[in-house]
Order: sequence, then C-alpha cells, then structure tokens
Amino acid sequence: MTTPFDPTRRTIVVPTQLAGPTRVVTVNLLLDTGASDTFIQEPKLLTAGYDPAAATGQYTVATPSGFIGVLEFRVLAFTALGRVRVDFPILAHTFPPGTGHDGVLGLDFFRGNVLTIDFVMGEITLTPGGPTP
Amino acid sequence: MSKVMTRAEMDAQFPDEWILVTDPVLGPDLFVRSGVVAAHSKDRAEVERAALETPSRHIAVWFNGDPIPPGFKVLL
Repeated sequence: MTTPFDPTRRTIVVPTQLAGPTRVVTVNLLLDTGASDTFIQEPKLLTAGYDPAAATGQYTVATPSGFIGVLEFRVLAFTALGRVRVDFPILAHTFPPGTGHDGVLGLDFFRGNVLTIDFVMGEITLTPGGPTP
Repeated sequence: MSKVMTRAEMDAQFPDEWILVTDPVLGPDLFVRSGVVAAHSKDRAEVERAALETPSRHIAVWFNGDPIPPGFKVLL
C-alpha cells in the first residue's frame, strides 16, 4: 500500500494505530531509519491502557544527548503503512515540549519488508519481502 | 451534541495545535478524514489529559502543523 507524505517538510510523518486494553489510539510518528526500535510518547501508551507497572522490559537507549532508560510494552496490535504487527514491542519515551510528533517509527517495524520512499511523488510504499538475514 | 468536522475544517480552524478527535473516520492510510473534536490546544499535555479522560474507545491525536518548530534542525 502507498501512503502519502509531504516531501517539503523536514521529517516524514506516518499515521499509525496502537491498540491497547482500553482504547485504540491513532498517533503520528516520524519515520526514522536511524532508530533501532519504535518509540511512542508515554502518555499515549497510558491512554491506550498500558500500565507502566506491567512493562515487559527495561532498556538503555543511546541518544545524541546521552543514555536514557526506557520501558518496553508489547502492544496488542500496531498498524502503520498497511502492515499490522501483533504483540509488537514499543518503547515508551517522553519527547521534548514543542515537538509536534508522538514518537518514531524505527527499523524494527520495517524488517522483512521492502521500504520505498519517493521524495519526488511524496509517497511511501511498504511491501512484504521476506525474512531478514 | 458535538459536531462532526471534516479534516479540512479542522486544519483550517486549529492550525499549529494538538487535536484530539473521538471516534475518528480514517482512510486506509490511517489519516483522519473526519470526527468529533474533543479537545484542541497548543499545549500537548492539556490534550493528553483530555485523552485520558474521554470515554471514547477510539481516538486520534495529532499536531496540526510542522512537527519540528521553525528554525530547528533535527537529529532524532
């Protein structure tokens, strides 16, 4: 499936959908091939019904400004670019005030697929590929 | 009763604001096409509080503007 984006902006915004125990939440993430994993603004995970006490993991993340600790939640379902992932790991983070996004869509979401970013047409296409070696 | 708004109406009325929509109608690309605006504000935390309080089981939240403030460069 093909998803449009605005190629004149400095970031690529991707609408995503997070299914939780209490709500389905649609949020915009930035496509980030420099991120190993997918991160979502922590209050959005709380809104979907994920309890920090029920986090499934805790990790240290290397960021440009240093190392931070984050919690991992395995979400019931996560959808973006026409692909649905079940029991998908999402890392919770709080992004700085003044930024207008709710997280980043990282490489873990794209593995096993072919990602095409067309900066001329302003289109992203994600198609099933095969297992990542 | 709250009024259903189209995405174009929201874009025009709430520029550079966070928008919370309940029971959104989405396209196959997951972009919001229409819905009821339950909250809007330039303050993200205010909209996040409203999202926690809404009884709706399906919501959409987004910033209606450039995700990066003017004059800033980005290193995620």
